[in-house]
Amino acid sequence: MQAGAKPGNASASRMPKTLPILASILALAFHAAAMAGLVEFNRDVRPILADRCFPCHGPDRASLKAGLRLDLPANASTPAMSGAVPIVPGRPADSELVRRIASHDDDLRMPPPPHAPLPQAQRDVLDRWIAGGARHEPHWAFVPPRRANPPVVARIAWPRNPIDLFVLAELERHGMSPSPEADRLTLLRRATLDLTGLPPTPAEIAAFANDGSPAAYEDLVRRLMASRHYAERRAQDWLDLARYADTRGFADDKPRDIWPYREWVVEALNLNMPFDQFTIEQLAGDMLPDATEAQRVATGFHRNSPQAKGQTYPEEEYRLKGVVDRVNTTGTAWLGLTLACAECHDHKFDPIPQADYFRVFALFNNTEHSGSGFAQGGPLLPIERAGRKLSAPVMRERSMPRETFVHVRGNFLNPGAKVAPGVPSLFGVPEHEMPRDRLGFARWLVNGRNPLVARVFVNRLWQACFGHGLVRTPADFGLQGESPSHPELLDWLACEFVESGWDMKALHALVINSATYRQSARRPAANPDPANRLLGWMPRTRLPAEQLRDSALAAAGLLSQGAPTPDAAPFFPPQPDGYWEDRDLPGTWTATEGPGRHRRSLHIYWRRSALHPTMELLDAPARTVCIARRNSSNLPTHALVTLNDPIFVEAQLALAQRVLREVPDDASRLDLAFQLVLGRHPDPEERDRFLGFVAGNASPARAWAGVAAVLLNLDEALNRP
Amino acid sequence: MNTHGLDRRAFLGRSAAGIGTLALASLLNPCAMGGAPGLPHLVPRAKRVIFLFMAGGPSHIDLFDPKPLLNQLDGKPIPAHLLRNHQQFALIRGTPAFKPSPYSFRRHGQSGITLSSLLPNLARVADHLAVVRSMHADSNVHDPAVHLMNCGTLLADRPTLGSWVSYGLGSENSDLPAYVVLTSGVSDGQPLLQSFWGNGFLDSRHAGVPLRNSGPPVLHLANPEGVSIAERRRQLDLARWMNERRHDALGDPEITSRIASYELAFRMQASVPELTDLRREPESVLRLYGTDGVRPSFARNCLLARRLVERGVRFVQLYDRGWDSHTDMDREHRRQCAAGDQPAAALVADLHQRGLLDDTLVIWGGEFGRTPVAQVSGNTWGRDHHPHGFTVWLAGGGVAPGITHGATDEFGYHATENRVHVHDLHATVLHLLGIDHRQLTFRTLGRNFRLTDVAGSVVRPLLRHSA
Repeated sequence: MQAGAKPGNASASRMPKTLPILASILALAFHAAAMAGLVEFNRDVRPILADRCFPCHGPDRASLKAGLRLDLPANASTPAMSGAVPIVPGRPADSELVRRIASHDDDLRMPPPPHAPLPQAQRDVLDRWIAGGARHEPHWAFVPPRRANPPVVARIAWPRNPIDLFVLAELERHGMSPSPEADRLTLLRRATLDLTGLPPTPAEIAAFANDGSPAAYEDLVRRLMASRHYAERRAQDWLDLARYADTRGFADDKPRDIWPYREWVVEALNLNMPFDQFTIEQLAGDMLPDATEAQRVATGFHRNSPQAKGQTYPEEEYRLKGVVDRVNTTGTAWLGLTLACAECHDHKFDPIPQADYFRVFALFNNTEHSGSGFAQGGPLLPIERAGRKLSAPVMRERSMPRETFVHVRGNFLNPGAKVAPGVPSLFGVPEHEMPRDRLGFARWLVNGRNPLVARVFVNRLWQACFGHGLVRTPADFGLQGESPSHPELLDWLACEFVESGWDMKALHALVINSATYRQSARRPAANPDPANRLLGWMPRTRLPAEQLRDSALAAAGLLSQGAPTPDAAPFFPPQPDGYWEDRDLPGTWTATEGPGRHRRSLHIYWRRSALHPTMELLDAPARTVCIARRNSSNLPTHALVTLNDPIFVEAQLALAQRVLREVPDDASRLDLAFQLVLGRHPDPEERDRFLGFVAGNASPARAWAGVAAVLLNLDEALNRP
Repeated sequence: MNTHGLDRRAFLGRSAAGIGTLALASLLNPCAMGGAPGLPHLVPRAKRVIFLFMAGGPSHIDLFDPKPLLNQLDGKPIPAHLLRNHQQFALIRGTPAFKPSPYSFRRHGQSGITLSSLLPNLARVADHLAVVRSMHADSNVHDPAVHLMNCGTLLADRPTLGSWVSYGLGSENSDLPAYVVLTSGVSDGQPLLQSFWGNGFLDSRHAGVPLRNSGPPVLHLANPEGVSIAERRRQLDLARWMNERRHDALGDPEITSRIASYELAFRMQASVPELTDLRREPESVLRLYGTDGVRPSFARNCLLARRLVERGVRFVQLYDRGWDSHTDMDREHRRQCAAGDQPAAALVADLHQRGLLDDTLVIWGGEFGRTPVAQVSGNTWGRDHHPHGFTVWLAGGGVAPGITHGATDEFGYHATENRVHVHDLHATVLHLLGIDHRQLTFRTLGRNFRLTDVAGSVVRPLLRHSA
C-alpha cells in the first residue's frame, strides 16, 4: 500500500486521480460535470488555483507577485499593475488570467517557466468558472459542519444506521450497490482485531457462532469495547499522534519516565473520557483548578517533544524547538492544519499569516523549561507506580509569561513584531473572546463551535476502521488537502460526536455497527471504483506492527495479559545482539526475562534513535514527530521478520506445542490452529493440503512448527479481514 | 494510493495470466519497481551512487586544502572578523588560536590535484577526482549537519538522498534492495541514527537497508535452527497456495504483492549471503582494498559496495565513523586515513578497471570540515566542527575528472570562491543521475517536497564535458 500522497510534479498534482484511463466513476462524474459546465469552486477550481497560482498570488505576502491575490475575489477583479483585469466575472475572453495561462510566450505565460503550463483540462475549468460568474466559496473545512438529514435511498433494507444512508446514497447515485455482509466469523475477526488488537479465541468463536440472537453482533461490539484491550488498542493510534517515546530523541536520546502518561491515555480511553476533557487535560491539565496528579500526568502529551542536550547553541534554541513541535503537533492532531508551514513565512496555501503562527506559539511559550537540568526540558512530577518512585515529565505554567515575537524567516535570533497569544485569524474569534493561555486554548478547541476539531477526530476514527479517512489527508484539512469523499457524512458524524458529549466509544460503536463496516471484503467483479472511494466493499488493512506481534503471541498462548498497571513500565523483548552497538548507540539492551517479555507491544521500550527492529521493519514510526497515518508497506524484509525473527519463531514453536498438547489428533489440531490464527475452520481442501504437509514430515513437532509458520505468515493472518 | 500503483495493478490485471510465475514475481517485486513517472528528466550520466560518508567531519585543511598562511599564524588568536555572522564554535570556548597542518601537501597526477601526505593511495587515482574545496553547510552540530548532508534539511524526519534516488529511479536488481547502508569505523560517541537512512514521508520500500557487520547481514535472513531450505520451500509453497486462493476469493491485488514479497525474501536468503561472501574474490582484489574479506572494516565495505553496484543496487552509503578529532587530531586522522585511504582509492581504481566508474558516482565527504583553530586538550590538540568551508571529492558518474573546484579563504575558514552549498551538491548529484532536482517531488502535507527544498543549483563546472 502506498501512503496517501501522490508523486509527481506540480503539473501532475490534482489530475491523476481523475485520469480517464482509470475509468473511475469519480473521473466520469468529474468530466461529466465539467463538460456540462457545472464547475464547483471548491471541488474543481480551488485545487487548481491553490496548487498552481497561490504560491505567488495567494496568502503569503512575502512571495506575492504583482500585488495580485487570486484568493481574494475583490483583488482578482480589479485592474492589476499592468492595467489588465485578471478575472472579469462572466467574461473569460476579457480576463487576463485566461490569456496568460494559454499564452505560448514564455514572458507572459502563467505559471511562468520552469513551472509546467496548465493542462488544457484545467484551463477549461477556469474558463468555465469565469464564464459562470467566477463565484468563490469559503473552503469547506473552515465552515462549521452542518447536520444534514440523511439522504433517501432506494435499497431501504440495507442500511442499519444513518452512516449507511449516506454511503448507500452515493453508491446508488453512481449506479453501484454495496457488497453483501461478510460471513459471521469474518465479522468476528474483523471487529475483534479492530477493537482490541487481538484475534478472537476459540471460545469466542464458538460463542459467537452459537449466539442466535439478532443482536449478537452489537452485543459482541459492546463486550469488546468494554475490555481494557480496547483502550490499549486505541491508545496506540493516539500515541502516534502524541509522538510518545521512552527516550528524549536526538543523538543523546536518553531515557525518561514518561510512561505514566502512556498509561494515563489507556486509562482515559478505558473510562471513555469525553474527548473535550481528554483534550483539556492533555493540553492544559496542569492549569485546571486543583489539578490532580492524573491531570498533571496527562500534560505529558506535550512533554513528548524531542529534547536535545542543548549544550552547543544558545540554549534558548533548544527550548524553542520544543515549542515549535508543540504548535505543529497541536495543529496536526486537533486542527488537521499544517500550521508548521507558517513558522518561517505566511502559509502559501491556507489563510494563516506567520503572525498567527506565533500567536499560537505564544500560547505554548509560557511553560517552565529547565526544571533541574536543561536537557530535561521541563519540570518533573514525583509520583509512585507499583512501589516505584518515578519522575514523570509534566507541563507547568510560568508565573511570569514570556514575551513572544515573530521569528523573522523562522530565525529566533531575528525577532520581528511582538505578538499576543491567540488563535489563527481564520477562525474569526473576536478579540474579547480570544483564548489567552493554554487552558483557554484547550477549552476553545472543544467548545463545539470549532469547524475542524470534531471533523478531524471523526476522520481519523474512520481511518482506523476503513484504512483511509473520508478525507484521505488526515493531517491536512487545508486548501491543499483532499476533499472528503462523503462531505455530508463527515459533517453528520462530526455533529453527532459533539452532540453526544464527545463520546468516543459511542461514535466508534456507530461506525462498527454500520452495514458499511459489515460488508464483505470481496471486490466486485466489475469494479468502476478501484480506489474504493465510495466504500462499495470493506477494505482490508494490514495489521500494524504491534498487532502482528501480539496476534502471534496470542495464538501461541504466550501473550501476557496480566494486571495492566504494574506491568505498565516499558519492557525489552529480545533484540538482535549488537543492534545498538553497531550504531554506536549508548546503552545495552537487556532483554526482559520471564513472562514479562510477552507483554503487549504497546509497552515495548520505544527508542527514537533506534526503534526495536521488529517494530521498525513492520512500519511502526520512531515517533519523533506527530504521525496521523502510518505507512503500511509490503516488503520482503517484513516477510523475513514474521518468518525468522526469534520473537515470531518462538510463537511458531509455542503454537505447535499448544496444538499438540491440547488436542489428540491431527485433524483437530489443524482445526484448532486455524481458529487460533485465522479465526475460522479449514475447509476440506485446506484440510487435505495441510494434513498432507504434516504427513510429509517425520517429526510431529517439526511438522506442526511448519504449519504454525505457514499460518502465521498467510496474507489472511497478516491482515484485518 | 498513487497512480503508479494503480497502473501497475491495471497492467497486472491484464497480463498476469500470460506470465510465468517467476517473471510475475520479479515484475511484482516491490523493490525492483522503477521510480516515479517522467523520470529520468535528463540523459543520465550516472546510474548508481556510492557515498563514502566520513562521519564526524574530516579536516579539510589537513587533507585537501593546504593553507601555508597558518604556519605564520601558528598560535595567533583568530581575528574577530572571521567570527562575524555566525554562531559560536561547537565546543571551543573563548578565543582559540590558529594551528597549521602538520602534514605536507603535494600535487599528484597529470591534473596536479593537491593532497596531503596522509592520502598516498588516493594520490594514485588523483586524475579521477573532482575535489570541491568550497563546500559549506548550515550547522556545526553533528546530527543536524548529517541530516542536512543526507536529507537536505536539518530535520530528522525527512527522506534521505538514497531514498529520493530509490523513489525517483527504482532499482535495477530484483533480488536486492535499491538502497543499502554499510557501517564501519571506531566509536567516537556519535551514534548512527535510524533517520540517517530513513525514508521520511516516502514509502518504506525506499528506506536504506543496513547490512550488519555481525550475524546475518540482513536482519532475520537465516531460517530458524532446524529449518532447511527445502523445508522452507515446502512451507512457502503451501502458503502460496493459500494466498492464491485468497486472492481468487477477494480479488485484492495486494495479495499478489504479498506473494511476490515472500518469493523475494526467499531469493534474498541466497542472494545476500552470496553478495557478502568475499572469499570468492581473488586474492589480488582483497589486497587492493586491504581486507581479508571477513573482518568488518571500511575496506571490506568498499569492496562490498563495488559488489552491490555491480549487481545493480542504486545507492550504497558507507558510514565510516571516527573522524570527530576534537582532542587528538594527529593520532585520530592518521588512524582514519590508515584505514580509509587505501580502500577508497582501491574502489575508484577497481570501478575504473571494470568499466563501472563511467556510470557510478563516488562521493567522499563528511557533514562538515574542521576548524583551522586548535581545540587544545592537555598535551594534545584537535579541531572543532566547521561548516563554513570544507572539502568533498567526487569521482566517476559524469563528473569532470582531475579538477579542483572552489576555494576557501587564506585561513581555510570560509568558502569564498565558487561556493557550493549542500543543496547545490544534491542538485548536482541528482543531475548526474538524470534528475532535475526541482522536479523530483513528493506531495505530502499539502505541498510538494523535494530534496533541495527551495534552493540548490547544479554546479556546472563539476560536470564532465561531452559525456
